[in-house]
Amino acid sequence: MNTVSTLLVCVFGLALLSGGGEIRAEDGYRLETIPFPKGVPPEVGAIGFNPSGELVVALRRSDVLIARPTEDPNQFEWRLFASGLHNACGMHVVSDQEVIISQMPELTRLVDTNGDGSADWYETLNASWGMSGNYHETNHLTPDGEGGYFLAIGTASHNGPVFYNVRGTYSKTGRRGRNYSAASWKGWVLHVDADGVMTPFCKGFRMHNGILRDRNGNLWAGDNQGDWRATTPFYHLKKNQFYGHPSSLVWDPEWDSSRDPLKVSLQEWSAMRTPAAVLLPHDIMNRSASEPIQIPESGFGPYGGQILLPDNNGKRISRLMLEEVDGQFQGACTHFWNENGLNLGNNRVVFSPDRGTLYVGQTSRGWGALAEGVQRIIRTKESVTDILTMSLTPNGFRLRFTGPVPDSVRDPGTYRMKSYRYEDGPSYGGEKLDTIKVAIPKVLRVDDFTVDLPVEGLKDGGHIYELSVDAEGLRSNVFCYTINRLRKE
Amino acid sequence: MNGKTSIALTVAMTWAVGSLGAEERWVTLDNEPLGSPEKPLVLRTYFPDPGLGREVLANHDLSYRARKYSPGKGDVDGFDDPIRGIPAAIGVNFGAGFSYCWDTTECRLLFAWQGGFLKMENYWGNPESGRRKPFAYLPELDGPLIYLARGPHPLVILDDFVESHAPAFSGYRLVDEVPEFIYRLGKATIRVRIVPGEKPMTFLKQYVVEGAKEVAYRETGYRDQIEKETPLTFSVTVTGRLESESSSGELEPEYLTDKPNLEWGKALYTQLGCLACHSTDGTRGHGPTFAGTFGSERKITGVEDPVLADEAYLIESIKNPAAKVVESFPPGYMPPYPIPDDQVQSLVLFLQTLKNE
Repeated sequence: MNTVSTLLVCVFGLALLSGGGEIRAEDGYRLETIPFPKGVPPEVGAIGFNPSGELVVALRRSDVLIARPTEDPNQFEWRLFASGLHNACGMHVVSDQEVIISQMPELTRLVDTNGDGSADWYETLNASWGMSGNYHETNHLTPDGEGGYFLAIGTASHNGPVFYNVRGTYSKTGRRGRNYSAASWKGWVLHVDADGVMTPFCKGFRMHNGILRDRNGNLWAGDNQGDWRATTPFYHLKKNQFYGHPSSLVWDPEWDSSRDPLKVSLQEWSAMRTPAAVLLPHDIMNRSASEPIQIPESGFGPYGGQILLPDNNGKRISRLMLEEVDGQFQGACTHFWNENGLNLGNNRVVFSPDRGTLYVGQTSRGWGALAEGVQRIIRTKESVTDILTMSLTPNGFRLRFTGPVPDSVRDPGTYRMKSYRYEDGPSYGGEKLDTIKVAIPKVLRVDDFTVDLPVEGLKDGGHIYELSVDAEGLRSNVFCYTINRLRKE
Repeated sequence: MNGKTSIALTVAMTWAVGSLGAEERWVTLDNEPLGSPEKPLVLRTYFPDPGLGREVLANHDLSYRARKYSPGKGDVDGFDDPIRGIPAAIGVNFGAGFSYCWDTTECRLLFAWQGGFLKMENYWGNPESGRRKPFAYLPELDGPLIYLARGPHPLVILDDFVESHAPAFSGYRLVDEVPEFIYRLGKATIRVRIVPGEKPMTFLKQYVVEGAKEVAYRETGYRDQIEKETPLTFSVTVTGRLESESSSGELEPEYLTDKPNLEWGKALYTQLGCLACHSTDGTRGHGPTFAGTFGSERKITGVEDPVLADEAYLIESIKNPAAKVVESFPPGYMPPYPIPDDQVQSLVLFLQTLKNE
């Protein structure tokens, strides 16, 4: 670009940009809104960084835009990398010239082969799942670490039709229900290897709008409260397991195709399904889990290694504290971010290459009030005082703080706890059941950073223990621990 | 917004961006996006089905009506009927002159039209509220149809007829901004690029076939003028004409059942497009007549003894037509129809009623 046109872009750039730019702060972090070029609907389907440090954003209507982040959120200069995609939902940036996108119909490799800055080769890597034509069948991807991908393939919604002609195979039985699996592999996680060969991996999902393979190789996905999900769950994924939404069973080669999965008894269903590692109470924590992301070990505050789980239907991002108990993952959740300037529709997330900033892509188009855009949460120099982890002991819960235990939390009167459970079933969402108050008689010092809260009569099988901490100066005040298994020692 | 305002606005916006030195052509909140002859707009989205026959959509599966469902009560009274859309196609627009829809499942051109491109508001939603049209979110074609695919795939690989293959889409390359679609058919790789023709209502399909020895090309229902550079590199000028969008392929609700029945078979004969090639009155077409087929002795290409056209024969001929080709008919012409068993059974019931006249 020559000097004159650069100047023109600078002068008129501000006029072209719409919205955004405001800065909000929450202890230890600052939130900013990044505007898009005027007229471009910022419906963010997927987001990533390329090796040059540019932000890559796929928008749901068509386009993939790229900009180099600037300190001033209003100075992003966007350029077009690719266009023509149908509802891009997942992204893995391979290089400055190559981006992998999962869009509605397929897994696609976008390549700029001639180095002119925009993709000219749109290679279909895999299109083995069906398309019923229902608007709701979105997907997401995570790299498998070996050149292939795990793909989360969402189900259809009864708030929309199917097409008369479908891609893949149609299942009349799979078509029944609130969210349904009318076309091949809806409600599954599929594995596509580096050669593009697909193998089904696990099943039983409603809308697993986000899948993550973490740095230890564990696979995770959330799901959305709804039918067969009394509240928002977060699952540890293992091969061949069934995660509770029955419609997808019609694609299981082991399933008797004459059986209607919605007519399986609750007893049989319960024996088949793998429960969530963490349940996130719908009202206070997370209404619709989207892309999970693992916090860098350093650079983004004290929570390195934990998982953030944005809420696609709330102005919130949840923080998960996972641990292995009796060989299975379970754990607690709290808010990493709640309101304070964050938009609704939090859908996709990525950390900046320097690990100090979390970029959040938002969209909700078609699902209620508009809530779209890109915001970023920047780690500031301020120190953070928080409960780092809530974990289970044989006799209660252990709280580890980000620093020395503050004086304000040494008194048992600071804490309130209740327990409850949910029951999944065919109806949409579910109430809290068996809510009881749980006494916390004392606070025991373990070391300078850690206290134990003894609790009597802990119950397993998915009971949630909700802890409220009434203390000034803590970043997070409400924690919910899901006990699937009790800790024996 | 009508087509004219849309074009005018797009021109104005392009000019405004252009005057700032930027050349970006991103999709905006304008729900009626347009490309240009120099830089066509490529868009993958859901497409309406303006009346394609089943023979064109042979590699798609068919859905049924479904019982309405309530999250609280389960199955409730009433039905949800399917709508006629194309799930996985790609649209290309060259400005007001020419647009087309190419399908990645059938790997063929489905239809072409003039005027504007697509009205996306049903699917992309109202710019202010974001709401899409819940049960009717198909984009609308913004202009009259000039081509609607009919009959089997126009390109046939003649040296590869022993097995029937479903086409497999490999992707597309932008060659001078125009997509060149690439797909595989058995051992062959086919590249095709479609551009507007010089005369009104015409367009060019530029083919390059690799991995095959001999191909045949024929458009059903349109004038096609083929210019061969080599036997496997050729371009076809197709002359379109004004076509009306139709929903004649719409299934009557009473046939939407999973119990095979004669009435359904009769309806499928039309809806699946069998009638394009197979008569019921003994007339010779692209395929053998259905009259008197059932129970007859058939002479099969490459097979010495005649074969009895029993029920198993009819089923095989629907699902895997290349397995037994009646003598004097071209091999590999009919695509396989991977339709559900109850529909196959219904067709067989219908075929069994067709006697020699």
